[in-house]
Amino acid sequence: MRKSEIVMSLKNINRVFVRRRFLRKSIPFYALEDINLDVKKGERISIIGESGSGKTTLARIACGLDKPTEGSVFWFGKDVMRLKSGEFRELRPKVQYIHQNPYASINPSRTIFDVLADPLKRYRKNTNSLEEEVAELLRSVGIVPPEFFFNKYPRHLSGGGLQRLAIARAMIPKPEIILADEIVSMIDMSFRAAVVKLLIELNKETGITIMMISHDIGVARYFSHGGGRIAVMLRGRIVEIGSPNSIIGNPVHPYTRALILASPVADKQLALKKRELLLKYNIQKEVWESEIMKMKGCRYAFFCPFAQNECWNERPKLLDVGEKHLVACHMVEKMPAWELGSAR
Amino acid sequence: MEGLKILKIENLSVVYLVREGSIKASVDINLDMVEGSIMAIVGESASGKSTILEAMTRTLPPNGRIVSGNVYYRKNGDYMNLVEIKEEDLRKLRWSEIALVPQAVQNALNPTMRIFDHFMDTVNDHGVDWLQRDVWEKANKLLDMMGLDGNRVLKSFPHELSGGMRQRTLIALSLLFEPKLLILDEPTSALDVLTQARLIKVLDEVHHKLKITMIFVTHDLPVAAELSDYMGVVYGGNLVERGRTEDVIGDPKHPYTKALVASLMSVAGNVEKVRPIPGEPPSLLEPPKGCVFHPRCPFRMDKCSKEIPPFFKLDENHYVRCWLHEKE
Repeated sequence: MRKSEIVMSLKNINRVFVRRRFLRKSIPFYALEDINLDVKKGERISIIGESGSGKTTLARIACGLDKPTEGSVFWFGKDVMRLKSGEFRELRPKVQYIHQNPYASINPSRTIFDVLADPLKRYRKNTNSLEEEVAELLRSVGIVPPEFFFNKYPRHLSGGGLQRLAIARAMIPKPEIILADEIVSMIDMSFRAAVVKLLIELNKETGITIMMISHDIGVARYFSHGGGRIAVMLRGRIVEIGSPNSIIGNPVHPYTRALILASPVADKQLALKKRELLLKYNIQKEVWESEIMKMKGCRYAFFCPFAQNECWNERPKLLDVGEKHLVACHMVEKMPAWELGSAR
Repeated sequence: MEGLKILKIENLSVVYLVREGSIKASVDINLDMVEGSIMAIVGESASGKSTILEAMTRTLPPNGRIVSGNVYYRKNGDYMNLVEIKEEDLRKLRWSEIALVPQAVQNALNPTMRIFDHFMDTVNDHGVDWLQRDVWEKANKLLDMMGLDGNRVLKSFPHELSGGMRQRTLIALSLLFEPKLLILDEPTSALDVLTQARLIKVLDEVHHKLKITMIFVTHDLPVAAELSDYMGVVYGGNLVERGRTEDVIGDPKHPYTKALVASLMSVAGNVEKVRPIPGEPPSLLEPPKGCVFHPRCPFRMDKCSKEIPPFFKLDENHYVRCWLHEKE
């Protein structure tokens, strides 16, 4: 892999939030721990994890909205923290962020035309009329007929429509990387696939790199299929990363397996089978977050039926199990064959 | 449908009065609930799925009006019309016969009260004179059934519990008077996948243990598929299809249900076959003429934009509101 192919790289990122307590010792909270991730040009990478796994913190740090406590972020080979402000301003538009809640990220008092025209005035280079360019943008995200929406307000669009508008807006500065943070979680079921498909099409047509954050492993699978990667996060750590075929078809980490088994499917027979299997990979109990943070070993040890001594005491490292499929688990050798391997 | 019907909804129509006119949130809903089964109502946000629940429990917001229709609830062999009975009689039914579990958002439990006080409050409010000790014991047992450590949870404040624990606590609270019908509003929304899987399992166990009838609304089709026996699909205020869950999911007849099933991004099935649904949902203020789905429907005919299709019966359980099935 040539170095120039990597557009974004996270090196040994740690992000610690300190929870202060009155008259008592403060507790450090590791939102991210030793994250290493290289994002290749044109890649569709999904980050999945439950709430509190640090996936949004990761995205915020990756696009420069937050600073890591330790470690560094590289954009196009340059360390973001060491850039001069002029250089940073030049690179800044190249990395765009799409927020989770489209109802909050778009100004409700401006027309749809204005929402796109304002940033366009700043970034456009050619001499077409502004109306034409806005229309072109709206058409590219499937808001048609564009002229009909010029004088409409964001409230006239559905959640899916708003998220399309947000995507159109993010495309204006011709970014190289888009970070899409849970963009389908707030919108309706029937638009989800359409919005994710729009991102896939943008990626295929313009070669833009897209990192999508999601809690839904099904969404990640659809987004990253055909050449992308999925990274699974658990309490601030990446526990497994690989192609959708290896993550869904042959997951190794018991947490990844539990996640797959826990996500509901429409097929009732399969659902019952999955419910049985889930017990094999997940101990269902309530554990205080502070207890998990205190321990040295694997973050899944409390819930892992396979946990041994070393799991409690020693942090597993991400190791390659073949075909660029990395897993952080001490028990890789002891994992039984994946039962749902052929369920695709 | 086989089995006794505990609840019958007939031709229920509900509107919300707003400045711009009236929002037709439920149009001519017909639904039967078989005693001891689980029914799911699936729909997108603003499709009117919660309105059905609110109308049948008469908890509509102040601007909601039941325009027509009846809701019959069977008690001791007789059917009583929930739409017409007096408020006091309805109050007696609530919680002891019919319990409603709201969404587990922050405001469902009082943040200044311990969980046990919520149980005590419910008991006092219903004029039952149970000893505090008995309530504790009952509550403990119910929480245990939910997979929670009763003694610890009862002493806690709501903020000390996680979202999944709060949701299960609410369900335990709703089961306090052993209701016959449990209504759940979006029981799994805003929960993590693992928590959600656990809640589905718990609900299934409770259902089998207590033989309780459940009805829940959800926007999540797979969740409905995993938990329910019967399913109703709501689109734009209309119930477009209903039937046994296997039939509706396995062999959907309405184009909307078909499209919805095809647009699921799941961990199972072929990813290449995921098909997004084009178009926008209808405005309930001015719903399209004829079938509500016709502007987005790939199979539309002339008739679809003119006449509202009635329910066509495909078999004993399976009904669909679509002109395509007129001859069948």
